[in-house]
Amino acid sequence: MCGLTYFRAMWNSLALTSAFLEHWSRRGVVALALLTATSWLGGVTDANAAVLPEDRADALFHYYDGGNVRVSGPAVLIRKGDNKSLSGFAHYYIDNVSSASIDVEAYASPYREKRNEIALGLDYLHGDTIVNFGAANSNENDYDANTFNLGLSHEMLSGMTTLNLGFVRGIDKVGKSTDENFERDKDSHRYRLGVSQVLTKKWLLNIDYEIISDDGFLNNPYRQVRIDGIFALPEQYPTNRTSYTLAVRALQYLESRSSLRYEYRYFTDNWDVNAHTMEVGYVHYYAPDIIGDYRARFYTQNAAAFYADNFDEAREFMARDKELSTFTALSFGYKVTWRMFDNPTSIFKAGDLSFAYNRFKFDYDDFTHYATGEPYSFRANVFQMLFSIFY
Amino acid sequence: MTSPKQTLKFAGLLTLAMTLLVSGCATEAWVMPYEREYLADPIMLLSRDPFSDGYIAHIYETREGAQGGTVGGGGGCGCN
Repeated sequence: MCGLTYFRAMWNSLALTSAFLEHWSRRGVVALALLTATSWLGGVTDANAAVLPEDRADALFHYYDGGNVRVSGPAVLIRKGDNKSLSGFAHYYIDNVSSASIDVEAYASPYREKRNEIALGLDYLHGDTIVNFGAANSNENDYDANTFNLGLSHEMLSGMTTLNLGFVRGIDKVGKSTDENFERDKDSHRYRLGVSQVLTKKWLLNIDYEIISDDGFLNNPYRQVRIDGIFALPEQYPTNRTSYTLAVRALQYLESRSSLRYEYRYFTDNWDVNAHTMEVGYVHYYAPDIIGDYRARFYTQNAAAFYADNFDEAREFMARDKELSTFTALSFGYKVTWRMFDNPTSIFKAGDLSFAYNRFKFDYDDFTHYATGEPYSFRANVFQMLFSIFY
Repeated sequence: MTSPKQTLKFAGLLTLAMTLLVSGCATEAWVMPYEREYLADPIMLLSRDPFSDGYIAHIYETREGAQGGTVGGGGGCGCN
């Protein structure tokens, strides 16, 4: 039985990997369909069937303050299933943005804007396989993003191994608040292959591999480059960016009813950006109904091939986006979650309230302050309050 | 320097090799369902609250050059 399951999984992995290598979105979808069909028609189900996400409603309030940018707003999510094979969700999200960032300070005026995001999705369970579909729209006065996703999760070896495949298509419109006739297209394709594995009674391993291809207008329509010390021309990026990401995560259960999480992510792209991310997390029960989460994260990257803080002359491709410069970022986070009630027999089975604080520190090597000429850096604070009901 | 294409091939092979290594050669589960008490604890989830974790992932994605490979994330720009 395992041999057949194994063969099927390998065939499906190879089909999708082949699609990844070919870099062809239609093949990605075909490979996903193949996996779905072979998983369902194979007729082999393990003792432990996959489980749909639990029914829940979340109300989130978030507040970001850093680098003279403030973003705040509420967000709600509702997920409900039929207790059999279907589970649907909807979420609504608002960002109220007030910005006078370093770029805005240098050559523009502070602004306020609002971003609305709405998403809908459906998960369908069949034996050991869950297929999910989703669509989302994010809208602000100068940017409209539409996202469609298709994913598949298949359990093998009595739930020891879970194979995850995903495909996301993004269709965006880039506008400009100062020019109502300005409209550019940006398309993206994301392909994801992931494996989660039970290693021992106390260790879990997760590996994710993702390819992203962005095409179209990829730069910011407002940002300018500096030539000989003067902000003179708009940025000009290549019209394609292809990136590759490999993330490895391990979770370890500790005797003291706590767990440790280790993460490493490597990123590279055809703009010559290479990045490394390392993260460690620790989760601990202070009491049966109170959980504390701690996390520390380090990130480093080098600059894109066409980035410069100050160009000596105009070139075909030019960027002065600090996100494409050489920099390091350090962040720490803490979250406390209180289970307010727990009654599995009532309509509302449980309720959680959590508060989270995250502190970010960004230090740029080759992006300087436009006035002082010193390397730029900024700190940011993020607060979140989340109320969740499980039913 | 390693080219992105070489990295891609390496990462793809690594992912497949890991799949083979951790599950392919096994004929049966070596951690039985009744032995997964620790693994079933909510603190062994990669994300207990995907909605709020997705917000943090979005902050990183809009302020760093790297993208992808996260537990949550996506949606809109909110870049500057």
